[in-house]
Amino acid sequence: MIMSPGARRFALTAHVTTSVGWLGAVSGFLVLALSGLTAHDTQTVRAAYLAMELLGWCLIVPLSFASLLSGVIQGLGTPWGLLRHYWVLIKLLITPVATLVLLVHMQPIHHVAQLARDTLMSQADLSEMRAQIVVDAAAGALVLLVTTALSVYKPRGLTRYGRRRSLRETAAAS
Amino acid sequence: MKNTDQEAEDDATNIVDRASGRRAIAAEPMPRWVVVFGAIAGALFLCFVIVHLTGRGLGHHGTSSQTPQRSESNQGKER
Repeated sequence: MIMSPGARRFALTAHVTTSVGWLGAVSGFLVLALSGLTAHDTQTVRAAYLAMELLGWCLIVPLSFASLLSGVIQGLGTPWGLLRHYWVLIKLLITPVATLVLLVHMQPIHHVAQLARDTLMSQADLSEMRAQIVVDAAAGALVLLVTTALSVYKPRGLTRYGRRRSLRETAAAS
Repeated sequence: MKNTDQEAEDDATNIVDRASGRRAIAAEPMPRWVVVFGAIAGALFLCFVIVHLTGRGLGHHGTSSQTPQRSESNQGKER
């Protein structure tokens, strides 16, 4: 099913907006995680973790699902397909895994935010978990940078299925 | 009769073309960037698994050893 040019442009706009928005939100999250880990002021530390939980649930999680959905629509509705090109296939593998990992890691973020809400948080509290959140946010930003680069560069290479499809289409056309 | 012969010959050619096309698909190697990308992704995934299995990942942090004080504002609310 190939979309009309108007629908295609709309779907592309939605996909670019949600994907780049996801990367931007994760970058903001990383800045908050770093300030939460390194700040000396208790108020700043608590504010950072409360903001991170809000940012995670209200922006990062919805954007991850929107990016995945708009990407699948984009793949199905354009000649790129979902499984024809390696770069699309890799993005299709990375995005659900990143979403799943994100959902799993929202639990410790909730835990730290709850601690920030209920206690006078000091620098020593849950320091390992807070350091881990920084590492995870950095890894998430890196993964999203890779998917963005794949979308821009679109490196060549048809999958076995893609080659078979193009062979069939060439045979049908001749 | 001549037509039937021609059709049979065309069919045979198509079968040969399809077979050689399939062989060409199987023989074509995976692009180098995919191989490099897969190797890096595999190594990183292995690191991730090792870190989590050795207990340095999330869910294994010292929450029990660190029991922070409750804030004054929340203590006030609870009273």
